[in-house]
Amino acid sequence: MANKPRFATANEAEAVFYGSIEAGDLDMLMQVWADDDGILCIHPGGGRLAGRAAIRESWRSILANGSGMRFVLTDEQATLDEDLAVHAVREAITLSNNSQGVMLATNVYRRVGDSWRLIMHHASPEPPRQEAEAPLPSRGTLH
Amino acid sequence: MTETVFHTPDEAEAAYYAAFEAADLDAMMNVWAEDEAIVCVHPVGGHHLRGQGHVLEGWVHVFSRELDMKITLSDVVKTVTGDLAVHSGLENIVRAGDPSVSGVVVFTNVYRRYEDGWKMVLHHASPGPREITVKAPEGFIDDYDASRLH
Repeated sequence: MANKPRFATANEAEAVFYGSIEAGDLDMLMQVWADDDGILCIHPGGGRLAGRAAIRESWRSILANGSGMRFVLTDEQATLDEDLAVHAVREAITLSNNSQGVMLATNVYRRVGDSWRLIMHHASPEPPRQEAEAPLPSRGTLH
Repeated sequence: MTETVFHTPDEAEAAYYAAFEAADLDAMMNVWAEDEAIVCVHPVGGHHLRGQGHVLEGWVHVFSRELDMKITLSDVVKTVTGDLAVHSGLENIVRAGDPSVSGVVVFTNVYRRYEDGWKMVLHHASPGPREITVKAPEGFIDDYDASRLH
């Protein structure tokens, strides 16, 4: 890669993160992630992936299957200090066949030199809305 | 009650899981920052709960069930800067009378340093991979084809 992009803020890195998924651009997506084998990624319903190789392979598979994903981000909440930024965000996702789902994501960015890079992405499915307005079920067995 | 001060993120985390196992609402809310920006996602229910009021309600609901469980953490990875700490790992849940792990939850816990010590500002928990015995409500994950999303 000739020139590494520089992300002056965590928000810039986040825009490129989602933009590269929408564009199906795996190389750009991996440039948002830190060059660090401590990076972590949890896809919805999945276990935790660690390191660039495993994370790259997971996104390669997702981008191969999920072309035409569109994200609308809402309810973004940011907490940051000089070196770390934590974003909690709702991802409303529309696939190319118009099916939709909402994921809740926690994205963690770290300042590496003069650029902010993604070090963690944790996403899980938000239950459908109608369940949210009904009384919460008591059948859950985890917490 | 006396407010315990947490001098490190680890102290706050230990108090969080102790409060969880004891179903002690006051101790639990003492771990959380008094800040409307706090966010909590439980693995069952799964919505963003934001702010003290909603996070408190979420825990009232969790504690209204009979929990009686032990949680041990594994695979914890910690990233700490001046004022923030991010802990990622697995919660291994064991129920009373059953020595086997009944569920594994993937968690992200975020702590922030305030003048009065470290406090939790975010808890994101989601069921682990289905190959591990995770008893999420029927249809909770299957409503989505996760492989088609991400």
